[in-house]
Amino acid sequence: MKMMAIKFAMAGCVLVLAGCSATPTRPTQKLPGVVYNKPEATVQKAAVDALVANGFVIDKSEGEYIEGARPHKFGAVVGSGGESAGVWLSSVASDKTAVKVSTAKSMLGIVGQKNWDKEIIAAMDSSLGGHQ
Amino acid sequence: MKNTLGLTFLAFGLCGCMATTGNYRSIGNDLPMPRPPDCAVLVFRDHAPDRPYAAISRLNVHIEKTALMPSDYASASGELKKQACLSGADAIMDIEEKKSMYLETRMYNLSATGIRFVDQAGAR
Repeated sequence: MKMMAIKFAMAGCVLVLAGCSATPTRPTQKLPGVVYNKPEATVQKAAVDALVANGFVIDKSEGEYIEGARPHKFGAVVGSGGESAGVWLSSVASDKTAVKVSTAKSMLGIVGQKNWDKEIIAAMDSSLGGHQ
Repeated sequence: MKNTLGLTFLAFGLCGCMATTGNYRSIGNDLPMPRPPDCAVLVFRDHAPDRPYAAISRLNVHIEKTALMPSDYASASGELKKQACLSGADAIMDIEEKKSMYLETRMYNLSATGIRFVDQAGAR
Protein backbone atom coordinates (compact mmCIF):
# COMPACT_ATOMS: atom_id res chain seq x y z
CA MET A 1 0.00 0.00 0.00
CA LYS A 2 2.85 2.34 0.91
CA MET A 3 4.61 1.62 -2.35
CA MET A 4 1.40 2.35 -4.25
CA ALA A 5 1.06 5.70 -2.51
CA ILE A 6 4.68 6.62 -3.22
CA LYS A 7 4.34 5.64 -6.87
CA PHE A 8 1.13 7.67 -7.15
CA ALA A 9 2.77 10.70 -5.56
CA MET A 10 5.89 10.39 -7.71
CA ALA A 11 3.77 10.13 -10.84
CA GLY A 12 1.93 13.26 -9.73
CA CYS A 13 5.22 15.08 -9.20
CA VAL A 14 6.54 14.09 -12.60
CA LEU A 15 3.28 15.17 -14.21
CA VAL A 16 3.42 18.55 -12.52
CA LEU A 17 7.12 19.19 -12.92
CA ALA A 18 7.03 18.08 -16.54
CA GLY A 19 5.01 21.18 -17.17
CA CYS A 20 1.51 20.37 -18.36
CA SER A 21 1.54 23.90 -19.70
CA ALA A 22 -0.53 25.09 -22.64
CA THR A 23 1.03 26.58 -25.76
CA PRO A 24 0.26 30.25 -26.28
CA THR A 25 -1.56 31.09 -29.49
CA ARG A 26 -0.72 34.12 -31.59
CA PRO A 27 -3.31 36.90 -31.22
CA THR A 28 -5.35 37.54 -34.35
CA GLN A 29 -4.35 40.27 -36.80
CA LYS A 30 -7.38 42.31 -35.72
CA LEU A 31 -6.15 42.67 -32.16
CA PRO A 32 -3.82 45.66 -31.95
CA GLY A 33 -0.39 45.05 -30.51
CA VAL A 34 1.94 47.72 -29.22
CA VAL A 35 4.72 49.44 -31.16
CA TYR A 36 8.08 50.49 -29.76
CA ASN A 37 10.36 53.02 -31.42
CA LYS A 38 13.29 50.66 -31.10
CA PRO A 39 15.01 48.15 -33.38
CA GLU A 40 13.87 44.54 -33.19
CA ALA A 41 17.07 43.30 -31.50
CA THR A 42 16.61 45.78 -28.64
CA VAL A 43 12.94 44.88 -28.21
CA GLN A 44 13.79 41.18 -28.27
CA LYS A 45 16.17 41.60 -25.31
CA ALA A 46 13.55 43.64 -23.45
CA ALA A 47 10.97 40.90 -24.07
CA VAL A 48 13.29 38.25 -22.61
CA ASP A 49 13.96 40.46 -19.58
CA ALA A 50 10.22 41.11 -19.14
CA LEU A 51 9.36 37.42 -19.14
CA VAL A 52 12.16 36.60 -16.72
CA ALA A 53 11.16 39.46 -14.40
CA ASN A 54 7.68 37.95 -14.18
CA GLY A 55 8.92 34.51 -13.22
CA PHE A 56 8.89 32.85 -16.65
CA VAL A 57 11.58 30.38 -17.62
CA ILE A 58 12.53 30.98 -21.25
CA ASP A 59 11.81 27.94 -23.44
CA LYS A 60 12.24 29.47 -26.89
CA SER A 61 13.99 32.59 -28.10
CA GLU A 62 13.94 32.49 -31.87
CA GLY A 63 14.43 36.00 -33.17
CA GLU A 64 10.82 37.11 -33.65
CA TYR A 65 9.27 34.73 -31.11
CA ILE A 66 9.99 34.31 -27.41
CA GLU A 67 8.17 31.83 -25.21
CA GLY A 68 8.37 31.11 -21.50
CA ALA A 69 6.55 29.14 -18.82
CA ARG A 70 6.07 29.74 -15.11
CA PRO A 71 6.89 26.78 -12.82
CA HIS A 72 4.00 25.16 -10.95
CA LYS A 73 3.87 25.67 -7.20
CA PHE A 74 1.63 24.00 -4.68
CA GLY A 75 -0.01 26.24 -2.12
CA ALA A 76 -2.17 26.20 0.96
CA VAL A 77 -5.26 26.97 -1.15
CA VAL A 78 -4.75 27.34 -4.90
CA GLY A 79 -1.00 27.43 -5.59
CA SER A 80 0.27 29.25 -8.65
CA GLY A 81 2.22 28.95 -11.88
CA GLY A 82 1.74 26.82 -14.96
CA GLU A 83 1.06 29.68 -17.35
CA SER A 84 2.92 30.03 -20.65
CA ALA A 85 3.40 33.28 -22.51
CA GLY A 86 4.42 34.02 -26.06
CA VAL A 87 5.80 37.32 -27.35
CA TRP A 88 5.68 37.90 -31.11
CA LEU A 89 7.80 40.63 -32.68
CA SER A 90 7.62 42.08 -36.15
CA SER A 91 9.76 44.81 -37.56
CA VAL A 92 7.66 47.72 -38.85
CA ALA A 93 10.65 49.88 -39.79
CA SER A 94 14.36 49.88 -38.96
CA ASP A 95 13.62 51.53 -35.63
CA LYS A 96 10.02 50.43 -35.03
CA THR A 97 8.94 47.04 -33.75
CA ALA A 98 5.42 45.75 -33.21
CA VAL A 99 4.79 43.42 -30.28
CA LYS A 100 1.96 41.04 -29.45
CA VAL A 101 1.73 39.11 -26.20
CA SER A 102 -0.47 36.18 -25.27
CA THR A 103 -0.74 34.16 -22.07
CA ALA A 104 -2.04 30.58 -22.06
CA LYS A 105 -3.32 28.88 -18.93
CA SER A 106 -2.93 25.16 -18.34
CA MET A 107 -5.66 22.84 -17.08
CA LEU A 108 -3.68 21.91 -13.99
CA GLY A 109 -3.93 24.61 -11.33
CA ILE A 110 -5.93 27.02 -13.51
CA VAL A 111 -7.54 28.60 -10.42
CA GLY A 112 -4.20 30.01 -9.29
CA GLN A 113 -3.20 31.26 -12.73
CA LYS A 114 -3.54 34.68 -14.28
CA ASN A 115 -3.12 36.53 -17.55
CA TRP A 116 0.34 38.13 -17.61
CA ASP A 117 0.00 40.18 -20.82
CA LYS A 118 -0.23 43.55 -19.03
CA GLU A 119 2.66 42.83 -16.68
CA ILE A 120 4.89 41.74 -19.57
CA ILE A 121 4.09 44.88 -21.58
CA ALA A 122 4.61 47.03 -18.46
CA ALA A 123 8.04 45.47 -17.87
CA MET A 124 8.96 46.10 -21.51
CA ASP A 125 7.71 49.69 -21.20
CA SER A 126 9.94 50.31 -18.21
CA SER A 127 13.06 49.15 -20.03
CA LEU A 128 12.23 50.60 -23.47
CA GLY A 129 10.61 53.83 -22.35
CA GLY A 130 6.97 53.27 -23.24
CA HIS A 131 5.12 52.26 -26.38
CA GLN A 132 2.99 54.09 -28.96
CA MET B 1 -3.68 4.61 6.32
CA LYS B 2 -2.38 7.69 8.16
CA ASN B 3 1.16 6.86 7.07
CA THR B 4 0.07 6.44 3.47
CA LEU B 5 -1.67 9.79 3.45
CA GLY B 6 1.31 11.38 5.16
CA LEU B 7 3.71 10.02 2.57
CA THR B 8 1.48 11.19 -0.24
CA PHE B 9 1.27 14.74 1.14
CA LEU B 10 5.01 14.77 1.83
CA ALA B 11 5.78 13.76 -1.75
CA PHE B 12 3.44 16.40 -3.14
CA GLY B 13 4.90 18.94 -0.72
CA LEU B 14 8.37 18.18 -2.02
CA CYS B 15 7.16 19.04 -5.52
CA GLY B 16 7.46 22.61 -4.36
CA CYS B 17 5.60 25.49 -2.83
CA MET B 18 8.33 27.83 -3.97
CA ALA B 19 10.30 28.44 -7.14
CA THR B 20 13.60 30.27 -7.55
CA THR B 21 14.80 31.07 -11.03
CA GLY B 22 18.08 32.81 -11.77
CA ASN B 23 19.62 33.76 -15.06
CA TYR B 24 21.84 36.21 -16.88
CA ARG B 25 22.24 37.56 -20.38
CA SER B 26 25.03 39.35 -22.13
CA ILE B 27 24.80 43.11 -22.56
CA GLY B 28 27.38 43.30 -25.32
CA ASN B 29 28.32 40.91 -28.06
CA ASP B 30 30.22 38.46 -25.91
CA LEU B 31 30.75 37.49 -22.31
CA PRO B 32 34.10 36.80 -20.64
CA MET B 33 34.91 33.30 -19.38
CA PRO B 34 32.51 32.19 -16.62
CA ARG B 35 33.90 32.15 -13.09
CA PRO B 36 33.26 29.40 -10.51
CA PRO B 37 29.65 29.63 -9.17
CA ASP B 38 30.90 30.40 -5.66
CA CYS B 39 33.41 33.09 -6.66
CA ALA B 40 33.81 36.33 -4.71
CA VAL B 41 31.63 39.13 -6.07
CA LEU B 42 31.68 42.74 -4.89
CA VAL B 43 28.28 44.36 -4.34
CA PHE B 44 27.74 48.08 -4.98
CA ARG B 45 24.25 48.77 -3.65
CA ASP B 46 24.33 52.54 -3.24
CA HIS B 47 27.20 53.83 -5.31
CA ALA B 48 29.25 53.09 -8.42
CA PRO B 49 32.75 51.63 -8.10
CA ASP B 50 35.63 54.11 -8.10
CA ARG B 51 37.60 51.94 -10.54
CA PRO B 52 37.01 51.79 -14.29
CA TYR B 53 34.53 49.08 -15.26
CA ALA B 54 32.42 47.78 -18.11
CA ALA B 55 28.84 46.51 -17.82
CA ILE B 56 28.79 42.98 -19.20
CA SER B 57 25.58 41.27 -18.09
CA ARG B 58 21.99 41.68 -16.90
CA LEU B 59 21.27 39.46 -13.91
CA ASN B 60 17.89 38.39 -12.59
CA VAL B 61 16.62 36.29 -9.71
CA HIS B 62 12.91 35.60 -9.24
CA ILE B 63 11.48 33.95 -6.14
CA GLU B 64 7.85 32.93 -5.71
CA LYS B 65 6.42 31.39 -2.57
CA THR B 66 2.86 30.31 -1.93
CA ALA B 67 0.98 30.32 1.40
CA LEU B 68 1.83 34.03 1.77
CA MET B 69 5.46 33.32 2.66
CA PRO B 70 7.62 36.40 2.01
CA SER B 71 11.07 36.66 0.41
CA ASP B 72 13.72 39.32 0.79
CA TYR B 73 17.13 40.44 -0.43
CA ALA B 74 18.92 37.97 1.83
CA SER B 75 17.10 35.02 0.28
CA ALA B 76 17.91 36.08 -3.29
CA SER B 77 21.38 37.65 -3.05
CA GLY B 78 23.21 34.29 -3.07
CA GLU B 79 21.63 33.30 -6.38
CA LEU B 80 22.29 36.79 -7.79
CA LYS B 81 26.00 36.48 -6.94
CA LYS B 82 26.07 33.00 -8.49
CA GLN B 83 24.60 34.36 -11.73
CA ALA B 84 27.19 37.17 -11.66
CA CYS B 85 29.97 34.59 -11.36
CA LEU B 86 28.56 32.49 -14.19
CA SER B 87 28.44 35.57 -16.42
CA GLY B 88 32.09 36.32 -15.61
CA ALA B 89 31.37 39.49 -13.60
CA ASP B 90 33.64 40.85 -10.86
CA ALA B 91 30.90 42.86 -9.19
CA ILE B 92 27.23 43.83 -9.31
CA MET B 93 25.56 47.24 -9.27
CA ASP B 94 22.24 48.96 -10.16
CA ILE B 95 20.39 46.54 -7.90
CA GLU B 96 16.61 46.73 -8.21
CA GLU B 97 14.06 44.98 -5.99
CA LYS B 98 10.41 44.43 -6.88
CA LYS B 99 7.74 42.79 -4.76
CA SER B 100 4.27 41.78 -5.87
CA MET B 101 1.54 39.40 -4.91
CA TYR B 102 -1.21 37.34 -6.54
CA LEU B 103 -3.73 35.38 -4.48
CA GLU B 104 -1.60 33.41 -2.00
CA THR B 105 1.67 33.79 -3.94
CA ARG B 106 4.25 36.38 -3.03
CA MET B 107 6.79 37.30 -5.69
CA TYR B 108 10.18 38.86 -5.20
CA ASN B 109 12.35 39.94 -8.12
CA LEU B 110 15.94 41.06 -7.84
CA SER B 111 17.79 42.39 -10.88
CA ALA B 112 21.21 43.93 -11.28
CA THR B 113 23.99 44.71 -13.73
CA GLY B 114 27.09 42.54 -13.75
CA ILE B 115 30.31 44.50 -14.27
CA ARG B 116 33.89 43.62 -14.95
CA PHE B 117 36.75 45.86 -13.86
CA VAL B 118 38.88 47.23 -16.65
CA ASP B 119 42.62 47.38 -16.07
CA GLN B 120 44.70 50.39 -17.05
CA ALA B 121 45.60 48.87 -20.40
CA GLY B 122 41.89 48.76 -21.19
CA ALA B 123 41.59 44.97 -21.22
CA ARG B 124 38.67 43.33 -19.42
